[in-house]
Amino acid sequence: MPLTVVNMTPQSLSGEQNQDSEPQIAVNPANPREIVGSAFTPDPAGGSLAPVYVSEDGGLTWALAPIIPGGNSFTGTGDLTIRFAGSGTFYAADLRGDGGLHLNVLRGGTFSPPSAMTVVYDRPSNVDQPYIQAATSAGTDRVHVGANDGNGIPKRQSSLEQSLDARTAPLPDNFSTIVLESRATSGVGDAPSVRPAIHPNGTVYVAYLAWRAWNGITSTTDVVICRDDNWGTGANPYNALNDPLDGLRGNRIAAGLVINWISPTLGQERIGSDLAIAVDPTNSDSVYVAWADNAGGPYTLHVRHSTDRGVNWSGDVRTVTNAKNPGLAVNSDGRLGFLFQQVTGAAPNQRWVTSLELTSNNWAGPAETHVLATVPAGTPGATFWPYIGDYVCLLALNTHFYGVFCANNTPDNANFPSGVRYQRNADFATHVLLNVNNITQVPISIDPFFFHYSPRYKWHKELKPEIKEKLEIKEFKLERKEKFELKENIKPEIDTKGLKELIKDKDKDLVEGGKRFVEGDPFRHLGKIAERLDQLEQDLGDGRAFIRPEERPELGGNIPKEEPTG
Amino acid sequence: MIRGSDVSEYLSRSTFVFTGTVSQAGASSLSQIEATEHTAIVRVDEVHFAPEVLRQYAGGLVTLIGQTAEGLAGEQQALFFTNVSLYGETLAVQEVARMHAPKEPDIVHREIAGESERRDEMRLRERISSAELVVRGEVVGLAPAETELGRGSEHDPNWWRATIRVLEPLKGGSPGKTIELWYPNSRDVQWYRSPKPLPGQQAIWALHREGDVKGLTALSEFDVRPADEIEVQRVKRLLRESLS
Repeated sequence: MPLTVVNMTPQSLSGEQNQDSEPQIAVNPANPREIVGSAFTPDPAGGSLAPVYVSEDGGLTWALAPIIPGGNSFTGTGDLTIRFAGSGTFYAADLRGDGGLHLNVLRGGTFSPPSAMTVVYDRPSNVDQPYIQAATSAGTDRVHVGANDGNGIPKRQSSLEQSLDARTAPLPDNFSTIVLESRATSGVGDAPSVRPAIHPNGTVYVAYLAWRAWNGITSTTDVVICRDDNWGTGANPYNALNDPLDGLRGNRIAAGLVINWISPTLGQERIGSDLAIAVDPTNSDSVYVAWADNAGGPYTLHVRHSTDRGVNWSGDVRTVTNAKNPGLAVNSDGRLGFLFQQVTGAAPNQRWVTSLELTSNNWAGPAETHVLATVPAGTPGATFWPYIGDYVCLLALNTHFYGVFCANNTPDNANFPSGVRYQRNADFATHVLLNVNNITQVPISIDPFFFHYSPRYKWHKELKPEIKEKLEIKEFKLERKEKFELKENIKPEIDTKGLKELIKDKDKDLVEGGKRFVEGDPFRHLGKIAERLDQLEQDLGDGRAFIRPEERPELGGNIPKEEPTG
Repeated sequence: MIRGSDVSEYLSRSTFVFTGTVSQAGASSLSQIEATEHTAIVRVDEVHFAPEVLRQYAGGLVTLIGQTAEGLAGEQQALFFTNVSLYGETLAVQEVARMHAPKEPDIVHREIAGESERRDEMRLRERISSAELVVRGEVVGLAPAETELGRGSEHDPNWWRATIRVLEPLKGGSPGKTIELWYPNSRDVQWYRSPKPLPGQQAIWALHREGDVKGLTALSEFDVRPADEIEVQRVKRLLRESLS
């Protein structure tokens, strides 16, 4: 299957019943098998370090590791977001679990074993919803944290905390605060959501929801996009995109939107500040944004697209009613992933449906759609807000999509149409969770769910001809020595890590069932090798064994068909 | 011979205490933990003290990260005082101390049995001694504390005021008088666990000044205790001890 969904709660915590909501995920570009997840999850032992979920095998299995200073015993941290930079260094931005609206930016240590993070930036009060992005350029780690900041000013304003050298600069790292908001706001300031998106060429987009009026029940909101073309450096950063009407910083791509604040709730979840942004890694001119508003009545998600660096924007290319928690990401094929959570049905039988849509043409044709979860929206009862999260997370790395969402954890295959793996003890026949003793029943709760979408090209058509040909030749040679000569035929940049493993696995295939490969289906073996190459490509973070769309001019720039191999 | 004082001291630094048997020395059952001479896979025979979620862990395996390699031999049974450093398919536990498997289990059980209560009482003592006012009282009114519509943050505490009639002053206050308690009425993650007074509720209230809150408040679960006689006597004892 191209899609893997995993309940992240470890087996040893089968007895847990927390409301583990508001998830995030970070994938190490230098080694995509290293993935970190987070949610409102406390250290079960009540220690002072808040935990994160860690995986060393690409998200198939997870452990919980207490590493974030300032944890509490109820939810671990306050708002928390996490990312890896290209250097492989792990970063986090959180509201400390022991300190109200107290912002920390943290840098990770060793991944295995996970070690406690170091605070590299500290703002003790009045910061909300820090949202981190990180990248590596010219050997330095760039960290950009969107935040709703009320320090030293009467109103909370959409801002950015950023460091241009977060990995090696001496502590405290060289973070600076940049206020993005350039216009008069409502009496209480802007909405909490401020979302940066980074392109490797130094283009940084930031989206925020500017409140022009607010009466406690609804806001009147502008969706604003700022841009900087060189990592937010220079005397006037984030001034590259001014509004055509007032000439001020930040293009108001939608204005005067009515958005309900907190209620009416959606499936026990509060509403009012849903926002996501993503830039195409192959083309920094192409940027997508998604938000939710009540302009048409029900709380509705909107997706729009700009192809000229945020100057001009499409109308809605996708809308979803009764939905929130948008996640956007663009992969290396220019393919857009859209993750969202929607309430369907009528009370008391409403369901939270979490979907991933993939499109290469802004939904001009049918999108590839995967329902990841469809679970009861009324149970378990909410302990606090956010019930499932004020946000989710979707990332793209090369051709792959990685994401995380939170949902009711009833072990019922019907609730997970794309399949699911549980680590915690569960009886899917009777739909009950079981404690570590595998006997005692455990109440259902909210858990984080990881997913990984891995495109599988129809290899015998899409594998590069020179690779295919050479592989086929080698497939019909029996000598082990010659099999190692495969090395000559795989792209040099791939042929660095894991080749021995590839050959070993291939050998295993060849003697599987005591049959020599020539008696079986040679394509099956090639298919397995193709998958291995794909994994190697992923491991390396560069190099491609498969044909890229731009290498197929006969397709007119269209994405080659991608057929799940199943 | 196990001394109660040793058990108590080790216990105060541990969150997961168990009797276990070394299953494999120099090994690890978790990929994140490298096997060294200081590690061993240990089978948990009996859990003595643990967070709620691990109380049924008997029979499970842990990877012990020992303070020393000494004594980590196969089939060796011991009493392990540990803290959990990783929760995976199994657990990784960092050793605080190790004792011979208890031949006098009663001592261990006696020392360990009251540990949760001791930790709770320590927190209660801290909250009471730092409180500005401690009273037994009854809620006679609840009202929003701020006239403004709110702060436009999902973390808005949404302050309310509880009017409490003092039934018995324990630290400050006068009987029959009323006092005001500010409390966050929000269900947000930052505030949901703070006590929410109910109409007519009788309790022991430990009121504090916290940050920029405009009135006295009670934000910890230890600031609002049941008003039964046993708890009243306990609070009085803790107040006396904090003064002595």
